[in-house]
Amino acid sequence: MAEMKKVTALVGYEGNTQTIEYEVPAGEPGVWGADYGFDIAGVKDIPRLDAIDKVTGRAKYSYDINRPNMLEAALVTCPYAHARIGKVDTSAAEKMPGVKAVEKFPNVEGQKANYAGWLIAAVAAETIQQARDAARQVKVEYKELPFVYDYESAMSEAAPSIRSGGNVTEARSRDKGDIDRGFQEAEVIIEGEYETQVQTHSCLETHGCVAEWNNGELTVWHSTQGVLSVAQAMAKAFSSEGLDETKSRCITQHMGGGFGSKFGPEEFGIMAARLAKITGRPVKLMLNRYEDSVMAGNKPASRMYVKLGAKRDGTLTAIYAKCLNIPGHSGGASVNVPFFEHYDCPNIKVEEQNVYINAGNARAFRAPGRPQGSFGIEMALDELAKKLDMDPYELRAKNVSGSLYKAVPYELKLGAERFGWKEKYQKPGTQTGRFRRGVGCAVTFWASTGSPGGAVVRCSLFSDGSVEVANCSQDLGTGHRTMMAIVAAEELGISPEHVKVSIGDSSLGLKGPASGGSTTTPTVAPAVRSAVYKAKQKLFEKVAEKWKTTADDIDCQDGTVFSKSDSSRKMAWKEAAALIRKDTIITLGEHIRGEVPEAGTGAYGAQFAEVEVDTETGKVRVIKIVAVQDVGKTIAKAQAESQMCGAVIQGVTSALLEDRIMDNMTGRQLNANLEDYKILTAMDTPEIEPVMVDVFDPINNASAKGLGEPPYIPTAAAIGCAVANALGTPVRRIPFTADMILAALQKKEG
Amino acid sequence: MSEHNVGTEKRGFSRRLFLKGVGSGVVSASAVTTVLPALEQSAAAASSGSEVLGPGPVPVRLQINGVEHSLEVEPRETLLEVMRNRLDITGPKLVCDMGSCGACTVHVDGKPAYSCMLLAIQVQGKKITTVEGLAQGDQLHPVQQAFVDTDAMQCGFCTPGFVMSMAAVFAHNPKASLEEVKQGIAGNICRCGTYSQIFEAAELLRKRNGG
Repeated sequence: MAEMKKVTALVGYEGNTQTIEYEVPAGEPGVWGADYGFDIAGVKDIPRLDAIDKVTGRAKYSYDINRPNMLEAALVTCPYAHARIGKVDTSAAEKMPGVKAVEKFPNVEGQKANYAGWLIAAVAAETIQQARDAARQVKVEYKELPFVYDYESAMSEAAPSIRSGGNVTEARSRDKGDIDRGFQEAEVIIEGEYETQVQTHSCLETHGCVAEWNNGELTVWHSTQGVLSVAQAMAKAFSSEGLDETKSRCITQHMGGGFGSKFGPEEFGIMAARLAKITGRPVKLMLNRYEDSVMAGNKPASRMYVKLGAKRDGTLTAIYAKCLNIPGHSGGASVNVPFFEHYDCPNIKVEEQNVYINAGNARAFRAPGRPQGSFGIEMALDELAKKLDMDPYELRAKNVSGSLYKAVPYELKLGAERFGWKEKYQKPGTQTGRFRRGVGCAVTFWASTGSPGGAVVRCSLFSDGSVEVANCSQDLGTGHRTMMAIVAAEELGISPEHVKVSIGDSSLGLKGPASGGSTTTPTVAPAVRSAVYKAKQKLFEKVAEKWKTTADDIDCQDGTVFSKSDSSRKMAWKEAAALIRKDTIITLGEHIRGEVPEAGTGAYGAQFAEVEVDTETGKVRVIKIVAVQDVGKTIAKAQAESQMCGAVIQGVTSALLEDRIMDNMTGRQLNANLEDYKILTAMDTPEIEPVMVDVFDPINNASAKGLGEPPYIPTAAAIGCAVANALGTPVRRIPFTADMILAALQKKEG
Repeated sequence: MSEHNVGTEKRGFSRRLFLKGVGSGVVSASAVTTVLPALEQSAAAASSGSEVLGPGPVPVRLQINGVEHSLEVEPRETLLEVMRNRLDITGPKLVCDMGSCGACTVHVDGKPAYSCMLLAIQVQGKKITTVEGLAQGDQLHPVQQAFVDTDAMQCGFCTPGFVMSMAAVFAHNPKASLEEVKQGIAGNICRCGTYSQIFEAAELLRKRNGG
């Protein structure tokens, strides 16, 4: 058992703080509390460390890697939604100009292709044009099979079964309390059916990699959210050919968007390495836009029947939902969490089934299942509020509760004030002109807690005062690199630009998380702090030796190292570092979870939306969103604000525009491009006010929580409630296209 | 018509026009373009017996960022492909490959253009500037500096395109209003959703220019 020490910290959030005392291992720092006295973290806007590289085009993404003598690869994919694959004849393709290798995907002959876009073969050639030409010459025999393209066609009696076990899974149920009693106790009951669409991730950098072999060692520059997991998986894929983890390297210095769709080596990534091995030359294999749309991930559609029961005063007594999730031809999907976690209710039951269709499989998409469930519960709550003749904000405020680390009542109240809810709210359907405004609100929850033991960070402190922190994590554009520098700089009292951050390379050999689940910051930040804190203590020992005092008498701030007991004793950071001489200080830090009961309740938040509906054209315009979010302790302020705005914008685009359209005649995606698959642009971007709430939570030593996902969850729901408020009738499916708005109006007003 | 497409559409035989000609009929929410006059030009060029090149490689001379490049390319290769695959100029990004997203935006004789919509053979003799050619040595272009100062990027894959589009707006009007900037960047998509920060960059720049 390690030696422990007692630490104290001021935790909680504005208006609800408390000083706690707890124990941490003797060599580790206590948690950053509200009383820490931050100079940089959450205080200053620090430019992104890689900002200049990004604005000058110097930043090299996987797609930009051009290796000497490199080949380009193109794919052959199945054009049919459902087909038995026969013989694959590559002989003509092999004779095409510039072609160096044509490879079938393993065991493809005889396989059943479950969607249009199924992988058949790949061609490597001198140029991408030659590779594409040759790919068209690969002759494939197909036997077309009947297909299903949406949940209704998949569930009809005549539907062909597209997988063993059928198209629909057994219902799975999550329960709390007694749902029947909950409805018996209810004085008011409402019900409704809500639908959310399929969104494709549409990362601007498509999926893929450059693969290169040298002396039996493999390097891939892979557009991935997890350098370690890719390197590991590549080693496994080629283990029978002598590759092991010491010889498998993945580099991702910059990455053009992932949003949950870029984990693992991918079959086509392994194919790139295979082609490189066969040809003895580096190979670039990046998906084209069509391929990326159909095979590289999507957010499952959902159809939710929701029934709520409440007392006349608005107190919820029962939440019931029966949900169909539609994840493509495989993969999982679940939407139940918002029904359970957003509001207090003693009796909850959610039943879910997956319905499989002939489409590419779902992948994690920014808070998997949560925006869908959020749309279901929040839209239903507004219908309940209407029936109760209650302000929907008041209804929500009545059904949330807080604690020292759970700030949702505070966040709702703060958001309502910032938004001006009282001034803006009118009863549903009050407005009657052509342009009708409406407001809505919704809450959010995400665990955001990080993985104890999930990261090892190395800190190197050199005699010239420079500092490096290193970890096998990667920066997807979240500002992770900058966040790490800020944590180190805050701890050492130096400027972030003096901290070098080494990430995005599996060969650093330091355990790091794949970036998903908003876990990167809460996993890596505490490990950075731990490593840097230990390095600092070692430096303090050198300084103490010089000043003939003890290390715990030394501190540092604003580039100065000083004695706490004798104000005459101080020296510049560089001067102190010079005491190290040749003995570079190298320390390792890990994420250690504090032993504090109740810590780590996750991150809540609340959002408020104002919309304007043109009742003649059916166009919905989002005017403003106020997003209030528990971010733990804000670290990289500018980058955190940007991520919040970005999450909200992805919510707006999901509410208004994005929708994968499947053709009922062919089973193919009709809009597998960025022309017909609509994504929000500058013209439709609303005013967004991000409000970060620091909730100091000893879940880890940096009070760090993840931020990528939680602010994306409630946006579409808040917009949906605002649209219902404007029209006086709900539109129960997103995206809110003009035809749906006009149909809802016609139904209501004739 | 957005600022964006002026450079490409008037040239007569861009891929975008060809695609439009065969007719998806769907126009993007952001980049609404007028097709007809240019199509007529294209038809006129065809009937006057233009030179037929290819399909094999042909020599081209390209002036990019002040450097003259002489090389052989297939006539079907886009400017974007030639820059990225043959010249290692990778600032302009390949994203949609059909003129929908703006990530490949460059300046052709000072006007913004989608380089995925231009064939390399058609921009010979023109002055092409990519995001790599915007800064003067270590001195960032004012638009680049404004992007850095307002953190107007996340993953950064769209950033070169946005920088080029906005640089064209401010070259035209150094005190461009936010509304003008929005029009000028309407043909660019940012998937991470950094529009709010890009607006801040535009406002900062307008103020720095005395606007």
